Amino acid sequence: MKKYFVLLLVGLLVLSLSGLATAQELTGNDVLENVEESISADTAQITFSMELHDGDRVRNRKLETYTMDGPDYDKGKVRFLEPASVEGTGFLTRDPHDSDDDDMYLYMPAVGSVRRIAGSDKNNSFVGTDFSYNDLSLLGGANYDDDYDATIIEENDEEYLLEIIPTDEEIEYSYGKMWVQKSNWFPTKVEFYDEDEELYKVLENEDIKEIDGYWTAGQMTMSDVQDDTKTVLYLEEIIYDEQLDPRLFTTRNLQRY
Amino acid sequence: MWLVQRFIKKYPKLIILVTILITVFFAYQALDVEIDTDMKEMFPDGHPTVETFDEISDEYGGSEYVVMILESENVINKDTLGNIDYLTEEFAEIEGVNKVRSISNIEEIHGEDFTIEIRDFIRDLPTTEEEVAALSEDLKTRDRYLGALVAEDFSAATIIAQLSPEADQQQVVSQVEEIREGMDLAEEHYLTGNPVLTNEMADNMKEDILRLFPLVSLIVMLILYKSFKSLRGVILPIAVVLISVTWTIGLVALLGRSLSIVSTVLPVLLVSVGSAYSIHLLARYYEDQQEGLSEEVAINNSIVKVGLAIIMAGVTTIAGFSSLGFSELTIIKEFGLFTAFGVLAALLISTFFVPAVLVLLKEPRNIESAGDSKLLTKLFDTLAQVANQHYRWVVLGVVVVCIISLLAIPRIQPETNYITFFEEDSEISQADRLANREFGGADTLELVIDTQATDGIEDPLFLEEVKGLQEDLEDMALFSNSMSVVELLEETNKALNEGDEEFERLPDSQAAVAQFLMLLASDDEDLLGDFIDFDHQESRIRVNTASADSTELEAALAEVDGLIEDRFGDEDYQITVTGIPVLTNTLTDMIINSQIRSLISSLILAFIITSILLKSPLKGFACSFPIAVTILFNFGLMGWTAVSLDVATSMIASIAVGIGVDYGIHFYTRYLEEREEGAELGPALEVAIHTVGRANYFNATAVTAGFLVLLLSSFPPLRTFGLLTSVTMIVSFIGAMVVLPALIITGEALSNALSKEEEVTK
Repeated sequence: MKKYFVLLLVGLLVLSLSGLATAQELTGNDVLENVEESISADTAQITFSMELHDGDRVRNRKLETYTMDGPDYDKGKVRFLEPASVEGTGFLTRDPHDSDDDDMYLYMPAVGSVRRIAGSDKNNSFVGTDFSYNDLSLLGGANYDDDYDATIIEENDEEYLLEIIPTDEEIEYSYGKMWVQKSNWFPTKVEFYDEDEELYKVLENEDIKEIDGYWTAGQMTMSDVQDDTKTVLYLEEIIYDEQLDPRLFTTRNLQRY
Repeated sequence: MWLVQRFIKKYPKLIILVTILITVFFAYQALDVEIDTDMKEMFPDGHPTVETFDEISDEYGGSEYVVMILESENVINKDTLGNIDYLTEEFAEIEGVNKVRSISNIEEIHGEDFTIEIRDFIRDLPTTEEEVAALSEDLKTRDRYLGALVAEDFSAATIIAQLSPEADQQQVVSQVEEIREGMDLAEEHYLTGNPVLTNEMADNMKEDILRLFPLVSLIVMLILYKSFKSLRGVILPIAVVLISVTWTIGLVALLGRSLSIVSTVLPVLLVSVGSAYSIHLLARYYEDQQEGLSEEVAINNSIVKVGLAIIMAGVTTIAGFSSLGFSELTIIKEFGLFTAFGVLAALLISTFFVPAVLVLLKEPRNIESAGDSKLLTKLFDTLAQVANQHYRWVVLGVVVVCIISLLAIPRIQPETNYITFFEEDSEISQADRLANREFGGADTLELVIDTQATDGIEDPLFLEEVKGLQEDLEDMALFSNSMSVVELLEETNKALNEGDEEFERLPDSQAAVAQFLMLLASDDEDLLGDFIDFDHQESRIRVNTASADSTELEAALAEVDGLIEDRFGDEDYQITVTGIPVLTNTLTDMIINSQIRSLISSLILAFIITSILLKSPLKGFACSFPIAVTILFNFGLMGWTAVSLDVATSMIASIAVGIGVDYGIHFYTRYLEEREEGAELGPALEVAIHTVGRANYFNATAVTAGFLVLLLSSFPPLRTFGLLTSVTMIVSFIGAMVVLPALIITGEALSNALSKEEEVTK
């Protein structure tokens, strides 16, 4: 009798525990954390080909990026490979975890030495693309959690729809909408709204595949719906988590091309 | 005409009813009529100059600008900068405004040591006098905005709003005005730019029409009363006018067209012209009753005898105005055609509606008057005497007038600058003068050089040529403050080289240009997008253009073409020159061509029509000749008094033909009528002068007074037009009353001499 009672008790406990587990709803920020978790490798070396579209006109570029998440700050380097006229032009960023004071350096072969880009508005277009300097950090997925607060506004079996609101005052968007796949915590689409709460830009991730254990988009398109322009990034090569020499992220290295 | 007469007698009520119904229909349409004063409306649809203007406008986010100028002793102070900043932000919020440029938001690439920064020239508005002084010092070194956004002596600053191609310009302008009114500006402030001009013009036009139309109606009514001293003598002609104006405006709206700047003249013109037909009709109606005929006979005679003359006169008037349809300028073409329709309406109403009303009315009590004054009789006696006895002197006088006028024709200058439509002391004119003085002009000339190759503009040699062209342009008196990608590249070069002045020059390799352009593309205000295209294939140069008269502008633009040819003639580039100055200049050519075309066609039409109606080319010539002299006189007057040929004055010749020929036709038909009834040459002329002369006189007075009302217009060119047309009307009256009889006598004398000779030779 006692036995049965214990069994029943255990059974009830298990039931209620499992019930608790299913009832434990994720918050928007949990989802965002999962997103970040799913795609942020410690280091990444990526080669992109880039298409700038304006109506039916297209300009092509090719660039390589190096990113490394450090203990104190994240570092990134972008180097243009094509067209030949801009080959070697590079940007170096250092983004401290505990402040918004990013550092950015520019190297142009035509100038021959590195210049620091001071106090620039990070909402400015990154060299004429539809990505702002702020948006660049989203490409690695790293900064969604740092820069945005999220709430779930819709959910179905396949995906979450989040509303994301920037916590970083320097981000010009008033809010965004983000669609996240449940299966792999990968965002398929993000809409950004301007100060007047009108749709401004749309980021779409396509060709999502798992590479070295990380979910990765083979094609990323940022469209400026107000200007009718878009920038498409095609993933050409990617290496995750390979040990990178910290000296890759120095201005001296930036200058060496 | 008998048919018409019988029809009118049979169905007077039907005619009146139909007229009223048609009028109600058109009146309903007329409620929707719109005013459009945009300069581009002057051009025919699809005109290449406008298409080019629109294409460049589309590509570069708009070619129309609303410019606000603030003026004070020194605009670089805390308050004024605060105002500029506020206005800049407010203007940017207006729907239809693409971009706003002012000293408060202009961006620059700044370089110091190893740091570069793309930033606002004024990051924070100065709060202390020290900061103001430092900013002033800084500003003195910035050639790019000195003389463009701030006057070199700091006495004025501009806030320039670029309107997107699809903007509702009137809406933008009124919002700009609202913002300005909401502020208590201590500085003198002015608004200018083409959309402001267009808007202001539409406002002035509405006021003009509302003021001038009642006035001209009143004046014509007074003249009518003085002429006929009876109620029906006033009411009937004025009713004709009101109905025909309603039909015309209704038609304009029905066809989806709009009233343009010259349409201001339309009601005034129809009042003067439209009243003429009923004046002639009523004059005969009274004249016959005075001579003891019954009212019925009087109506019959008016319709049958005068009716024919009225129709002839109407047809020539319609032809005269229709000849404006040959004009290349849409607004003149439409004005001509719509006025022709209005005249047709007045003609129909006069021949059907007026007699129909007379049929229904009782016999008039007062038939004495008919403008019988001793002074008039004396005037006509004198005229008859001059024509009869001194016809040789008259012919000689005509020859002299023709020669003097011909001499003056080369002196006539075309003028199409929109600014001439504004009073000297109007805000627009003041702003224009200020812009000319401090900023090298309120209009911009736009040059787009298409290298026909992607990245073609990245070639440093090409850019050197662009820079050279800009220097050439700035050497010309009319142009200043040119801007292109060259200035931006030079600024970038300097910034990237530690702010060293020495590097304020073009980079020397294609790679450097490409890299600099990539950096410049980071600027969020899209400074670069104003000067190059997406493919780096085109380079756009903007240069401020001072106000100039049409001759100067034409010469300057021809010189620009030469400079372009010198620089780029050998290359396979496609070079486009556009902007408001180019539109203005194209109009100048069009106005001259149109003048010649409509002048010749109106004279030929008048000659053909009178020849057909009078069944003799000789008689047709006799009727048309005085009017040809009148037109010549008009041009002579313009030449000698330096009145320029503009959209308004270029219509005078056709108006003179349209209206002036009538006097001759009425005179000639009456003269022939008298001759057919057996009168000798001299007495026949005398009767014609005394009878038709009276109607002509009333008509000329009404028309002249009508045009003189335009002296109260708020548009200086319309005032000149009114005065000149009035003079022309008086001259064509004299032409019909003196020159035509003299011509008839001379012709008779000549043919007599010839037939005598023939008799002798026989």
